[in-house]
Amino acid sequence: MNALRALLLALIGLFIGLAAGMWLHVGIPAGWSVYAAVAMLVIVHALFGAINDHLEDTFTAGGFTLGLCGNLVLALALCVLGDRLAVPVYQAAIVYFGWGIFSNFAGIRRHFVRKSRLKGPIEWENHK
Amino acid sequence: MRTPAGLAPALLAGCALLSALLSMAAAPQAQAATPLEQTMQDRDSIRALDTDVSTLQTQADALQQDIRAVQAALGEQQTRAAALQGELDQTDRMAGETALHGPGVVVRLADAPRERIQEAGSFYDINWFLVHDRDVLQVVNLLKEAGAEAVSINGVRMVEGTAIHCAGPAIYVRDISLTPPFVISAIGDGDRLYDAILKGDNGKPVDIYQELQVFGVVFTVEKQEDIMIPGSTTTDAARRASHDR
Repeated sequence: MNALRALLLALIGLFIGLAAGMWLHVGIPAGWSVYAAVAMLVIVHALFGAINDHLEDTFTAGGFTLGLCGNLVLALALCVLGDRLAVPVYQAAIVYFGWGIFSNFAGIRRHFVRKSRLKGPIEWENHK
Repeated sequence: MRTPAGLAPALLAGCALLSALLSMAAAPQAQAATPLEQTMQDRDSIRALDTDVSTLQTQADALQQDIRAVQAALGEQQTRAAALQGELDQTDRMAGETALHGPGVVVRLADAPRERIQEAGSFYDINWFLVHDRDVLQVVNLLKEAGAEAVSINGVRMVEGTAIHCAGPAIYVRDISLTPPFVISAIGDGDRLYDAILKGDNGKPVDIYQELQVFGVVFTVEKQEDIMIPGSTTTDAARRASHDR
């Protein structure tokens, strides 16, 4: 899987989601935008993590789905708790997953930097 | 655990989920707000209104202070204006520009009747039977010494430095000619003014009174309650067009 294929898959996925969202005719109520934002952060974090893992050859579908669902449940639970207590607890989720997105992205960047530094496929395979 | 499934489905599913959420969030928003959101919005609006209230309060206080300052200044101005007005009135009165009225005396001086003069014969100088400028002046001075606040002769107000002099059958008061009979009005203590002429220094009428009486010159002094004396401008304005002051 190369970058182009990944990009293509991502775009297709985006379009499918868009269509589904519009077709469903449900909107996120204004008060629930916190939940939506946190969920989006969690998903982006998981996606970047998946790319990172794939590059490091540690990707597992099970790991991805479990990670995604688990994180979603955890983050949304935090939002519910914040709602009940009238305390902005969701900010913890935002901070963590926001940071996680950049951390995973940095990992991806590092991978490509390392790859470009090493010459030839043999050294690259050896390194891996 | 390695499963046959690779990154592809994960990528697809993840992106689909993400964009679904995005498109839903971008859709027209419903009105309902979670309790947390509502509370936070309320708290924010309360805070904003509080700041507005305190700002307006400070503004109101500042304006209140301005109002008080302006009122104080206005009060000052009014007192000053009143004081100035008082000064002006006083000066006007001193200059004789204001018409006045009050109690006082009216003195009438007129030449002796024709019959009386003819009776006396040609032995006497006719002048002794006539009222002269110095007679009028003396009467006026007597009245002023006795505290007359305002004096007028035949409606011409006597002010500071008004000169009386003779000009044939008439007398000149300032530059206005007057002919007998002379009605001298004086505002002041009626009794005092009356006594000044008819009681004099020693209880007897003053010399001029007695002298003029002898020759039959009409000389009457009458106390009155409400005498009207015009201001000096009224007579001047009536007699000439403009006047350099």
